[in-house]
Amino acid sequence: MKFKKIYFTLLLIVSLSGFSSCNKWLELKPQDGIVGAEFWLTKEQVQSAVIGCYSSLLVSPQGNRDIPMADLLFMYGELRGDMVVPGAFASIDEIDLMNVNILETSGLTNWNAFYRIINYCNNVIDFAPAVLQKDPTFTQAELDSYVAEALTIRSYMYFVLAKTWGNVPLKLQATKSDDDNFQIPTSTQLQVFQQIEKDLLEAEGKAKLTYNNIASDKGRITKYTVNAMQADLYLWLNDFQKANEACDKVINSGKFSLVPGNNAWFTTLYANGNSSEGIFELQFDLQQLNPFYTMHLQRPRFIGAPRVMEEVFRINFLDETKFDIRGNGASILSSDNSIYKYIGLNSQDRKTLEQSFTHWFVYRYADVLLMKAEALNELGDGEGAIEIINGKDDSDIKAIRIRARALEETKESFANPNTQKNAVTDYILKERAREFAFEGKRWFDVLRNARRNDYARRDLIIDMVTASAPVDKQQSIISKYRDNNSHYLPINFTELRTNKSLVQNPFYK
Amino acid sequence: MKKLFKLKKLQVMTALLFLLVIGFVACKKENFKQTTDDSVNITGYFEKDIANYSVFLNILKLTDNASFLGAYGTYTVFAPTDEAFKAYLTAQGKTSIDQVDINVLKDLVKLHLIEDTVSTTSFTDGKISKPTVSGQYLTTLAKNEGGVTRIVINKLAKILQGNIRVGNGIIHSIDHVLVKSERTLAQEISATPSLSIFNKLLIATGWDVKLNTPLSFVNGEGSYVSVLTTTNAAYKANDPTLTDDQIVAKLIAKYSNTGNPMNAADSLNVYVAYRVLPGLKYMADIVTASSHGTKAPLEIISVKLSKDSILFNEDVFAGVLEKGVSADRDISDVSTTNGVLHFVRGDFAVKKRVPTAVYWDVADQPEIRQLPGIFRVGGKFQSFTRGTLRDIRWDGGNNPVVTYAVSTTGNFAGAYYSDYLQISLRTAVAQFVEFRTPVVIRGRYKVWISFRSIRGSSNSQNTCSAALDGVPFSRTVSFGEYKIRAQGDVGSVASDPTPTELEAQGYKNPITFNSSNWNCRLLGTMDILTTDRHIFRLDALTNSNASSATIDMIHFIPIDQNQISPKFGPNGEIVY
Repeated sequence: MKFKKIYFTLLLIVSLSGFSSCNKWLELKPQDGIVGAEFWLTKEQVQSAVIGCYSSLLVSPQGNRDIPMADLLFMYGELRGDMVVPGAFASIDEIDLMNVNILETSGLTNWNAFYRIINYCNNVIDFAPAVLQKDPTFTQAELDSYVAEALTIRSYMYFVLAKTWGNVPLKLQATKSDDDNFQIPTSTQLQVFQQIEKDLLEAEGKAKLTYNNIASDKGRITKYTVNAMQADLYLWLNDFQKANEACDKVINSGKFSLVPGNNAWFTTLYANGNSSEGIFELQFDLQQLNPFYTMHLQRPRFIGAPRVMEEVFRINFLDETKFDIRGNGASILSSDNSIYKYIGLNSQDRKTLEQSFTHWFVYRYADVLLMKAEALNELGDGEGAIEIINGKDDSDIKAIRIRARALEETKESFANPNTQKNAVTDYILKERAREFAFEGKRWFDVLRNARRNDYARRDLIIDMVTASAPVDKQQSIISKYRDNNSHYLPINFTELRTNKSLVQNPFYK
Repeated sequence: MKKLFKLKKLQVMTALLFLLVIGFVACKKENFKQTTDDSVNITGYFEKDIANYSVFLNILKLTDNASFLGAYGTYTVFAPTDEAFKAYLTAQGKTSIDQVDINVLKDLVKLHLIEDTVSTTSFTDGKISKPTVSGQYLTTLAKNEGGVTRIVINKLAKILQGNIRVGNGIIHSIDHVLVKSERTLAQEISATPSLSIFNKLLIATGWDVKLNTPLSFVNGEGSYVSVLTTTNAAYKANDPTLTDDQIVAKLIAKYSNTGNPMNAADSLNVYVAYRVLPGLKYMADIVTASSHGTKAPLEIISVKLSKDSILFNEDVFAGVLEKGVSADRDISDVSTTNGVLHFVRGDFAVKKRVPTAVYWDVADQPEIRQLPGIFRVGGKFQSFTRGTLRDIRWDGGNNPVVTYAVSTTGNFAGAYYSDYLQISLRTAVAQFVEFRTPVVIRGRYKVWISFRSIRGSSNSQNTCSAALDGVPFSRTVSFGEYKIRAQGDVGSVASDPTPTELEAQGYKNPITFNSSNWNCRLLGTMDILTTDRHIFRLDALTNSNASSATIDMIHFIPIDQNQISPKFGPNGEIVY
């Protein structure tokens, strides 16, 4: 009898549980996040989404093991240049990238970090406008500014992607559901550049001129950031008139100037950051340190090449008071060739690990000046270009070299710069190498100038690798760089596997 | 009983329930995966891609290689496509692979197989570090054709698809069948029309026989040699009107001093031997070392990379640049059965040099020269950790450092250019230090070391043994030894020993500066066998707590020259 009772109870439980509905138990909404329907209601939410785009440039989401963006920007810009050699802790992938041996299986070809940030931006661009109706305190001007920021960050990501991989897929809408089409074929580099051009034009009209505080003016997108990026883009598109105009917009604003080349120069410009020269800097701070302390000091993955002191900055053996302030004790420490720019406090003292928040400099005023010089030279005004670099006379502190107290040994003069376009190009590139040493620009500078007019200056790349390639691989590396496709990285094999519309760069087949 | 019944009831019910449950479950068979890995092996890959590799797979089967390439292992296979085999057969006038001799096919497979996994990332401009199963090495090089760069194997076969990873190795698909080199160096040279003059020189000196000897292995090391040849065009550059034979006659007249070029001591024989480098050295191997030994006794050939051209014997001697000859990289790296053949754009011969004194300032190191704020600036110093100076190597406990210092005043003043290197040479710290010397010409030298005397507690001293290229010097050096001064007997007038008296005891005063802290000791006489940069090594023998050994200079002075003069000043003066 007793058993019957148990049996009955069992049956009852089973049938009860069968009848009960699941509405409370099985919650469909995620417990650890916010769903779209509950977001995008107030202007504060829009703001936090935009700020999220910026912080994603500094650090990957928790639990994610992607290489930090600043680390990637350094590697893509410097590893294939001639100013960095592997340090003791360089990984095999990194050495392979330096030796033009990179394969599609390399971790350095991963797009995750880029397309994640692009998706954050796409979300702002897609969803922020609707908030205008939901939040009456949200103004059109504010919305425009936020959209401009998202557009510009997205453009920056696509710019780096297109410069590094050449052809990449363009995803311009936010990823809303699993039904979205993820099988997007690549667009050509030119198409990507044209999309960036379009986006930057829109952003230029919407972006703010100032946020009324210095950290935001240097750390968030302003109209001047957009102009600087336009100048860079037009140099890649070989539209030098527009590049020059974009530079002029920044220069004529009167808001920027070179940091004087005195004793405080290094600390002001690099160690502290957000100087009068800064246009857009990734704002690492005490809470979010940059990845460079480990990279350049504790476990050095990269060190400066010997030629940085010997050939780029040069040394005056006779008079030690004469030196390029950008060389020893700024970009590099010549005693051990370690890269110093991001770990120095001043020319004597290193930062501690806790202070290692030197910014990543996306654009600074000196860059705009030298981009203008490049545009002028291409437009036939070599004289104007040389004046930006050498100055009118030796007291012209607005000139790049005078500010930097560059050595006579590295100075070049031209009898008739307007007709010596190639020589002036070489000189601008050398000056850019000095001014932006280890700022992630070297490879792109050389590539941009080499590829112009159907690779008329291929010699720039070949000369660069001839000097820097390992001796037993030199010939192969030179041959590889004669193939234009080798200037761009391979698409990662997981991307190829998951997206069947992608086609691998033929160099890596 | 009741209990039992209850139990029975329970059992029945359980069984019923069980049946009920079973009844509802459909009898669909689950397809569990029974393998842990579905990647194919090398043979499996060819079977899968039969459209491209049917011939190669067929050969693997014919030669009984298919089964072991389908099993566990680590291999690299260079797999020619069917297209490649079509061309290979056509060239031989055959239509099917069955018409080819089975032994040829076996050799063919061996040449396409390396018993290791080698991916394209480890390729250089020279040979693949592991030989193929056939024993011959394959060469790799990236080549650009019409804007497209491909890696080329043996200068012949382009890699169509590289780094195909399969279960037991790597496959590189290639567009040509690789061909084993069948010629020896001598045969290759005589078959090359542009080397006819060089070939005649080989015959005249008997080297044609030596370069025709098949490969042999002693202790696993092959008898490979690498030959640097000069083409007819280079020989005829100065006298374009002469015939081959006239040029050969001229060369014999110029070099052959014994009248019998077959004699190994004859200068023409040495001239040829100087172009034969022991070992299998492709251009990429040659360029990685700054000098290579040759078959000419104790003669080396120096190598320099200037931009992308390889220069032989371009050296600075006594401040004068001697122009070298460059290699023709495009046509060099010709593999043969017993070595590799290179082409050089010009004639070169052993340089006859007389031994010359080398007064070597050890503190003048290339890395230190790059420090304008420190290099030869009074009062400055800088420490270097291991691995930061390319020409100095040291090791030991407590992270020893080499310190560069400049003293223009104080009791360390007086060194040549006022600068010196310090290293704590004692068994507990730096156990040894090795310096790469400047080029020293072959000859017999007295070697001196000048240093500042340093002592530890209770006048203890640190003593080191010295060696050059592993050959120990007859004397050790004690870094606590002061210059021998006056030892006046009681009642007599004290006088310092004269320089010649000092020399007789193996000492001299190295500096012009008025300081008795610097001493210079003879390490011994050394026969330096090759004209090259050498390794000078000091090994710590004692463990005194004296401060670091302070070294200024090392002198290599030919034995027949004045050992005392010159002296060196604190501002770089050299006083004879």
